[in-house]
Amino acid sequence: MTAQARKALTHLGNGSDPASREILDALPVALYITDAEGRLTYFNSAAVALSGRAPELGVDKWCVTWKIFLADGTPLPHDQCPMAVALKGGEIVEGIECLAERPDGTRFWFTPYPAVLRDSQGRITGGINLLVDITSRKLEQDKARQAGLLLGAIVDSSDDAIISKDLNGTITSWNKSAERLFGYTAEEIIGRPVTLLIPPDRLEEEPRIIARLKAGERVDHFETIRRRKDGTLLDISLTISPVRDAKGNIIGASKIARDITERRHAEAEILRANRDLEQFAFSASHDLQEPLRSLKIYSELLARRYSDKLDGQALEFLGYLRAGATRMEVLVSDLLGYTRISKHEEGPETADANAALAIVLASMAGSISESGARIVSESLPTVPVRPAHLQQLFQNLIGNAVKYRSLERTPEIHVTAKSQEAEWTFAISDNGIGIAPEYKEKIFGLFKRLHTSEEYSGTGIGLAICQRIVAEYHGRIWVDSEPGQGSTFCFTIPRTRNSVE
Amino acid sequence: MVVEDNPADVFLIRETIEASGVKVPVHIVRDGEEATRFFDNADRDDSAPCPSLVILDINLPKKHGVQVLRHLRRSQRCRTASVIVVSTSNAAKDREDVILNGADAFFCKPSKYDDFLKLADLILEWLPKGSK
Repeated sequence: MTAQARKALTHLGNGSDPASREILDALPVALYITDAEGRLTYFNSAAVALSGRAPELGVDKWCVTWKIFLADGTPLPHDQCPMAVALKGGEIVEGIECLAERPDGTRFWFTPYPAVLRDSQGRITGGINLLVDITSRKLEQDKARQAGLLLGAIVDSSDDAIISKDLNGTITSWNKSAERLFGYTAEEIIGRPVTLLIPPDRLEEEPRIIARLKAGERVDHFETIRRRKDGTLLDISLTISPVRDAKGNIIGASKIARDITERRHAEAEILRANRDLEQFAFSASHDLQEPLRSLKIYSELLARRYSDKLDGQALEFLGYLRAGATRMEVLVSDLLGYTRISKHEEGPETADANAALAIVLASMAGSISESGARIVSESLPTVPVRPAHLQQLFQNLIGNAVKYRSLERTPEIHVTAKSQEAEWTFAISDNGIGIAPEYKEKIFGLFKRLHTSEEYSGTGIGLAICQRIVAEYHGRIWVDSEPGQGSTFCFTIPRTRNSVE
Repeated sequence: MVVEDNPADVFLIRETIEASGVKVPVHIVRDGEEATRFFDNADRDDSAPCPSLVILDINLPKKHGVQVLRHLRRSQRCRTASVIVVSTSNAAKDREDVILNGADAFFCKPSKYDDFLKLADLILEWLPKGSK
């Protein structure tokens, strides 16, 4: 309380003046007055409301409240309360936080502001005390403290390392999993540069990360390598978000680091198993070609040289034999194409989609002109995909658009590419027969066909190949379609893979 | 000389040679070892036959076609023979492999009779003059 306020209070006298009393009664703050011996001579209605009791004037001493405790819960005898201390000529204690109990057992927090009243000779004639209710503030603080404790417990119990750093890259907090993962204790590492955790050949990552944070961006699931205290390396996935102060300024970053060493091992295992399987599928389909060729040629020779010696049914059977062999040949050759999709080839790793499209359209010139299809394309981007793969995507998707055209109208096929933040979305849309909603997912499966060979030829491998190529580049493929109106096949190609840039 | 284990293909190669119109004796061997023995025998015995053109399958029992090819190129009498490799594979790598090991031509076995007969053009091209 300011000196000025105290002076104003002491001027109110002992509360016997009716004018002063009217003011005091109306005050929304609990207030009481005592004589020099501490006996209560006045209290206002706010004091009754706060303390939950009406003291007996001239009898109750020192305090208006029923029971008082210090903030730590120790009971405080009435004759040692701040008002009593002040009246006995001791120090005037201000601003302490006390807990009090009402006769009904409920409790409240308050801060007393005692002052002594003196006569012209300076002798103590009484005291006046203001009790400010701080219960709601204390409850808020307590709630915040509980929330803080809870958050702390969550952070500490997390399996992921949770670390915070300021914009200089100095570590400011470090949870238990961070200790477990990196081997440093919180005491050892807080206040030290985060670059301690970065292997020397990856130090250039930090300025890039900081630059992104300063721009207010998050870094999501960035897979990289970090170093433990003992120097060993570990594979981790980092998610880093900017931390802002109350005014919204970026003051640092929180990092969640997940140990992905095991996942990496599992991935390598799956990759190896996949390669084996691919190798198997490749050999199998390759070796199938050989006997198939004999089957085809000799059924052909049989038809050419012995037709006149065979009766009608034998010729019919021979026809089935030849059709089966031909169909199997296409299947085997498509299957070979499917097993051969791999990013791990030599040659360029980016493709100009305009060039890829031109090559595909040239190779399909025959079937396109036969169908009367009109193909419209926008200017397309250069994307991080092997040219052969992009060509296969166009070949299959445009090939399908031409094949499944509607006979009621001129086929129109549009090829477009839309640029998004992290990826390109290509769309090949047609005005063909469309696809019923229940088949939208199925069509991408291997050997999945919606039509008989008599209606539309095909092996059911084309879209599986597309699916596989797109998956190789961590993109997605899907179809939107209105049956009878047309289909739009879309696929996405990420601009970059697993990079901070 | 034809080195081919699959009788179905032996028949087709015979028909092709016939279609090409060349009239030469044709030796047929059915596996890689038999082929290398044939060359060794020619080196030992001057009166033994020595091929002027070898039509060589790659996927052979006992000895791989490329081994047969290397053996041929190291032999004394038969080393100058022309070699046409016939294979089901059309992979660039396989093609390169046999050319690097001394084959003169590569023919991918087709699955249509008329296409198979195109092997005749290669035979006419590579059969040394005077042996027709």
